[in-house]
Amino acid sequence: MMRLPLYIQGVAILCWGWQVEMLLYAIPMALLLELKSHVNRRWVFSQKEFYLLADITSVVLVGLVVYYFATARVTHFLFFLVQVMPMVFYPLVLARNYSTTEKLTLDVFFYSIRNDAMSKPGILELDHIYVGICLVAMSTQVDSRSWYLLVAAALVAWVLYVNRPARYNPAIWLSLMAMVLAVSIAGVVTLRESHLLLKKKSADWLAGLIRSQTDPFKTQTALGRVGELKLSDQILFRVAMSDRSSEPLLLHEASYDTPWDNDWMLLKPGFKRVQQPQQDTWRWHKRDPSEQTLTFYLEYDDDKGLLPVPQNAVAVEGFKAVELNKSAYGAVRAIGITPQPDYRVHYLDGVEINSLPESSDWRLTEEQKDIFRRVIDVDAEILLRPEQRVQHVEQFFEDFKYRLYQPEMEFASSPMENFLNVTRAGHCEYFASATAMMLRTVDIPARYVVGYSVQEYSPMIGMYIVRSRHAHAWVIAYFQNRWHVVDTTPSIWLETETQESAYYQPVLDLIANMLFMARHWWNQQTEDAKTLGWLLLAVALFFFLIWRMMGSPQIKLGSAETDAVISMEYPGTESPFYRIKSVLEQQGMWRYKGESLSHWIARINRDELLDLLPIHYKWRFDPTGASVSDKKRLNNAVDNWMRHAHEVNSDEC
Amino acid sequence: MHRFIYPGHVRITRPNDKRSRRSSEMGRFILTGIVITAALGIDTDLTLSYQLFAFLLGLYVLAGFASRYNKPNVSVKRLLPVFATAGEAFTYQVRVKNEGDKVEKDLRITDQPRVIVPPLEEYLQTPEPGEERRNAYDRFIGFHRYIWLQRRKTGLMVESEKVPAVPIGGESIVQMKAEPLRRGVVDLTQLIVSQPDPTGLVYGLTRFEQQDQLIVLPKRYIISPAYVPPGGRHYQPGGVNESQSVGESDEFVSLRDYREGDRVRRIHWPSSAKRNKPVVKEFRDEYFVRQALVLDNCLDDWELLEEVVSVAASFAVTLEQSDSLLDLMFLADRVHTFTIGRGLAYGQQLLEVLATIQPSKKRFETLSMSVLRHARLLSGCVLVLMSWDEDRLALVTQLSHLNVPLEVLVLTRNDVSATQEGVHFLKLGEVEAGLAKLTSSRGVR
Repeated sequence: MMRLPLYIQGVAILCWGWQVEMLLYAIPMALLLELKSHVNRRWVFSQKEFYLLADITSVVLVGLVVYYFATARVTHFLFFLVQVMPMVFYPLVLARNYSTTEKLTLDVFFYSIRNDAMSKPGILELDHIYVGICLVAMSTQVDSRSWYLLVAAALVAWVLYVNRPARYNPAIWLSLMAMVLAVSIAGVVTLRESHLLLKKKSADWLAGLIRSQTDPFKTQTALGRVGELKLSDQILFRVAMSDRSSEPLLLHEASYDTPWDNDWMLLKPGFKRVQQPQQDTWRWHKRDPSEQTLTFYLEYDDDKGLLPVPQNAVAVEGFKAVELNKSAYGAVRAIGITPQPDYRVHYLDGVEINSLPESSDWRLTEEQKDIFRRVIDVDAEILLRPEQRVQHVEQFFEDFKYRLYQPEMEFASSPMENFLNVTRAGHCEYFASATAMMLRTVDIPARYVVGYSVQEYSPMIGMYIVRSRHAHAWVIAYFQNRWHVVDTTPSIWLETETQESAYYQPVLDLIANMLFMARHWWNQQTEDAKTLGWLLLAVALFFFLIWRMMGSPQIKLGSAETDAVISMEYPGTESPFYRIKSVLEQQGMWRYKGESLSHWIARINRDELLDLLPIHYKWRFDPTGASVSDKKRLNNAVDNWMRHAHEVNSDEC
Repeated sequence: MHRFIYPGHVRITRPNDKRSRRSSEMGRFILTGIVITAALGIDTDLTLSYQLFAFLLGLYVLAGFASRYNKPNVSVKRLLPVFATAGEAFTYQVRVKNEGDKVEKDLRITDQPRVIVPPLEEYLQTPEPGEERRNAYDRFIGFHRYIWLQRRKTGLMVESEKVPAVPIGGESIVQMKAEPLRRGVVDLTQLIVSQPDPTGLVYGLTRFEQQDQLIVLPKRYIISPAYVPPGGRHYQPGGVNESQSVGESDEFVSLRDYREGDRVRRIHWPSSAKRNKPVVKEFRDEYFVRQALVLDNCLDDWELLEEVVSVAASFAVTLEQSDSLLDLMFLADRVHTFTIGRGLAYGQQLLEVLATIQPSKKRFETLSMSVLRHARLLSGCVLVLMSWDEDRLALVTQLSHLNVPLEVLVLTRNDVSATQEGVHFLKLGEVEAGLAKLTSSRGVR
């Protein structure tokens, strides 16, 4: 059976607490757990009580899974969960250590085994597993890359040392462990370098496959894709407005100037670093920020990303990042983002995030122009005022339909031609792309914009919810000396996409919103209040545990009755013959239990000792004892034998 | 689904592939840690689990390498009992002798019966008893069924044991705990001595080829000594032992006139004098009890057959008397009759025969005909049947017409509502209680 070294659980908890910066909780946890060695009481917990405790642990675990899954980023979800594991399992481990139950069985954790009458549940080495949990939880803190291996190796080696086989010299064990450490250091370096190399090599390749975030330089559209476009109901972020507008709000992420095949590109983004007048406050416009703000509750999947902002945004406040850049095309890019619950974006009427039009905003190839010349009278349009031209373009799309499904195209026809002449139906990317190109055909500078349409208000949380399917594409056109939004996508697009939602989506939304509200409330508390809250909870749990334990049946360890040692002195045990026996047994020639001395001596071929046996027997067993001369003779004989044995040993060495 | 999973089950339970035998408890713990840290540490940017993974993997690999050295210098000898009984755990000894020049510590010993892999068809068709109570996942995977079947076919489970430290030139005795899972012959093929590596994670194995056979007798139920077998008391209570005469003098019946060929010493002289013609004494032939124990093995139902054999074995032990004969009749390629008693053979040998009985593909009629031909010799007959149908009813009826006292026992899977006079239905799982009831009802016979 595997033994755990004394105090290793406490040490593991302290290492974990130190590593993940939860020492405040780790110290009392470790102390309380290791106090068991100095408390002489154990509580009698029934199997049902362990079931209950394990069920509570499972519920907490599931609750955490749901909470993190609903509120944290996917990559952070596991990270947070693993990090708090030692706290989740602590009550169960504490109960086991202070109980009279030596080992728990697997049915404590596996409900299916509890009901399986056929299986005999195996042993659950909870204490060992808990040390392992602490080790893994420690690994979630990547700042200590240089010494985590040493700490983890030391803890594992400690357990191995206590359980090492007796057939080996400790020096062999130590040498092997040194080799293991050397090999594992080489392995760690190799793994890390390989991962970095792989990451570097695959980054471009992956970027082409996965559209994880908006690229400020290029956007890929679904133009030409056949079949049903699948849209996700996943909530991306929430937005609170200082004044709730009746109009749908468009949040701009990036705009593009060059149509390329079925995609749009930006050849000269012109990113400039944004000024940071105060800590976590970023301003790119000279005018002072007004009271008009949008509060974003958005967590980023990566340490860099684009900020969705209204088209008239001027500043960002409370946003923790190393650097913020803004392009002339209205993209706001952050680098070195620190996870944060919320940030605010200020906006002002009459301000434009996009720069003045450039020559690229008219750019179209002759082939592209030909497509649009076939559907509108360009020569007639050119003679009209720009706003009339824009109006005509909008009117052109009025009888088009919004549709997520695209049938097979005719042979040799481009997706755009197919959209304009055959299907006359599509999703927002078709409309935006066609509108931008048509406006350019009639000599109006236009840009293709991607972002989000914010219009799903949740009264429950008093905020707007933005989902994946709210991602939208539209056009900005420059006339009358400013950029105007031209969104030709039929206004029913959101309703159409809402119909695609799963029937159980309201339930998922309810859970997500409740968790969000709890998290929002918690984040609004001051740091002092949070610490006080945790402490109060810990104190309440502690007293509950004490109250529960005091009320439970208990036994006292080390009581006088159990520890009474019966000692008895036998006559003759001081016989020097036992020295010979001890030496021989140290050399591996043991005497079996119950084996007579004479049989033993014959078995190990030490016949020279047979002569000494009668005196020893007399000394040991004769009620009258051995005479003084006999004792002297035996002492001398034993001394001689020992001296001889020592010389033989020295010679062999 | 089971058809596709079956090769996997065979592979992972192959004796030489058993990683569990090579890994200590701590080794298995480390292996689990390797899997978990590999999963968590796949992104080296996010966690440092990859460092723990590298350490644990390096530790296990080097431990595995180190376990190839420092093999124990010992010899082993297995000391098996002659017989064991199915379902009854027993202990036997293994003697480990130190042949080297250092004390052998931390050794473990494992005894390896010859593992019999259940054929696919048998695996598909034979559900584990109580399988319906297992959870859906276990039923779907069918691993428990496979393990149960493999163990049943292998026949013996032996626990691995720690070897006490073996002194130089000395030996240690290891008490091995074993449980026979079925009757029949079990082959023990090799003893495996394992020694740990310096970290105690992986065991190196040293195999000692040692072939032995163990005969596992069928499970037996207790039948009360008060039980009176059918036809056991015919004319003379106690058979030959209770006869008044000794030597060649058998039981006197009557006197009759001398016939040619009668021995002169049988002439009853006083009567001859009275009748004035020779009169001889007539004797009854020496009588002894001869019973038949008919075992029905004509259905391919493993569970029922085991119970039939157990019930038959219980009766065999009860009916065995030195002065009577007991004929065991069963089907194999033909009908076999094995007779014990009166110095022909002993009950122990009968149990050995019962241990090897397998289901027969012959028809019950074959057995039935043979029993009827044998009936005139019998003073009683115990029929242990696997089902109750027209063929078996016909046998019982015909034996009754021949005035053979009968004890009919029918093993069933379900409760039998309809009762047949003189027939005892024993439900699986309640056989012992059924036999007890049989004992108590003997008073009305």
